[in-house]
Amino acid sequence: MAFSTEKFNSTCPLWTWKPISPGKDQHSESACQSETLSHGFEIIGARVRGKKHKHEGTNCDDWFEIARSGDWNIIAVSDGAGSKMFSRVGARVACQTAVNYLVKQLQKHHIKPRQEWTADTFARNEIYQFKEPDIELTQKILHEAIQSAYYAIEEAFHARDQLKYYYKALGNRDLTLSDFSTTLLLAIHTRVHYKAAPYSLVLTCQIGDGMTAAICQQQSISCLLGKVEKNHFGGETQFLTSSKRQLERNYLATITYSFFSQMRALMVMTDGVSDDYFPPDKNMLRLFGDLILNGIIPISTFSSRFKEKEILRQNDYLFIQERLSEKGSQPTPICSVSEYAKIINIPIEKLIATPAWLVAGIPKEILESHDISSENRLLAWLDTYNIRGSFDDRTLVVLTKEF
Amino acid sequence: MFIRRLPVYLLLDCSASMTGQPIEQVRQGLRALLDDLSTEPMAIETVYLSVITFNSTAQQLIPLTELMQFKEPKIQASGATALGAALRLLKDCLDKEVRKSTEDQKGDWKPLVFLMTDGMPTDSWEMAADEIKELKMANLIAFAAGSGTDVANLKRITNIVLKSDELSPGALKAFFQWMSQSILRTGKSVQVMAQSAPVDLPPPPPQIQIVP
Repeated sequence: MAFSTEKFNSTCPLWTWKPISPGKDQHSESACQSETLSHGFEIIGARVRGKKHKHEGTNCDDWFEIARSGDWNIIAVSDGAGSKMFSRVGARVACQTAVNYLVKQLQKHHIKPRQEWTADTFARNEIYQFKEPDIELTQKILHEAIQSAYYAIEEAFHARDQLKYYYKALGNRDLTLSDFSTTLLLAIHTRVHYKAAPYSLVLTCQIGDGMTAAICQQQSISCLLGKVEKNHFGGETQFLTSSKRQLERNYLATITYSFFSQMRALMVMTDGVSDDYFPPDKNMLRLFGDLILNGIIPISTFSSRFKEKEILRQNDYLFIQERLSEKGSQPTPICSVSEYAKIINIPIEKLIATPAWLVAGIPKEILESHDISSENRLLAWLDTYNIRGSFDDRTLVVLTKEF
Repeated sequence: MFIRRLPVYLLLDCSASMTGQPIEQVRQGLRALLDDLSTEPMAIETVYLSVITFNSTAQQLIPLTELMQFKEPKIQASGATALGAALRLLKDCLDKEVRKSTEDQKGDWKPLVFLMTDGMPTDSWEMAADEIKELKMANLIAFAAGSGTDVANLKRITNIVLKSDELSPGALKAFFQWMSQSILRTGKSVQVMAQSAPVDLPPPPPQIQIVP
């Protein structure tokens, strides 16, 4: 089934922007943040209210939090259930609580230095506990963060369940915990000095859809740190609030991923982004390429060495799409790394593994626009929808390091 | 790359008792549904529609088709009420046409099925009904158009049953209008228990009641 650009463009004028209707638990329409971390790592994050919510005048249901604590960088991303009126509260509370917990517990937590890091270092027993105590303690802390997020949502529910406002808003029925349904994705990262090089150690755990992926330093390898849900219909994801059995450590250990490598980027996102890059095993690399080409992930410029690769047909991979805001529709340029790869006739994996060729494709306006921060560029990119059927809230946090 | 589609199936009783005003209302209702949906960008981008009619037999008049490519079918009324055949055909269509999520494939949204009938089934339908209910293959909403049909039968197929005892002139058309609101899920909603999870639906129009 071919995706028809024509039909997609024809719906553009039909999408409207309405302000968020007044009521309790208002969240900002969008948010973006950046931090310069130690050892050359940087992190940016943004979330936007999706086209559907703009059209309906409802809140953004996504949330994210970024923090640093001791040796650790902490990322939390969440997506409230679209069919649940107050899921955004669950999403926000889950992220904030999980991150606060991780900040406290990881502040003085260190991974011990090792002469050798091998697959064996990450060996697990039959109930998925790591054999190495410091790594197992890290996993334990991550799981406790998820548990605390769940209990915080319960508290948020109890704080509201006697209030008439919610009863009426729901069409005269009582609030239930499921009205706060949300996914939750956690990723924690620390730098490990090994073989005189900066390695990254990452642990992730997610309940529900969305994805976390790491890009290795060679830029040609992506590693999924989450699982694609199968045998469901779209939108039928698991939620943090779905069942308390999910909170059991034995279960959480089976969905906790570890990663150890010289890492170029770590991307954590809600399904508003991952759905546009599906299936993830083949497309996370393409997402990384798009983020570089659109000036969101910094990349050092190599100058004249690759003049023969300079692109004169920029219009063929730079598309003007509409970005909807209260001011109306703003035409916004979006570059596509897959189209660029086609034009220069290089397989996309090879293109992304060759930074100089990627740089050669970044439009001059982006290279020279130093007044726009990376996180604002990320916000604009997330806010400019360019795929048919994609109108969900979008959130993406990217942790990067240039080598 | 595939998109997530919202598959919508209409199962329409076209038996002899629908002759005249009722079937004309179905035709008008379907036209109005198409008009309503065609102005909504979300529907244009994701809704795929199929029409299954049943009388003495069941037939899929229009296979699952993109909204903007959908051409209104010719609907006539005559014959018996083969509800069983319709349900078996529906299951077949759901199996063949709807995509589930896999590692390589984005699944469609859970299909919406609207079943409208005005009379008692004339074939064996109970097993098909039980199967559809148990497999949870769709969010199925049944409408008892008039008092000629047994609401209890419909409850066997789905927990979401609406009725209009007095099938007044506007009732069928109103049902179609309500259908487009359900598809678009706009406005305030009432929650109805459906299988394991409640489904948010818009409040029905005055001529139609939700069967508790």
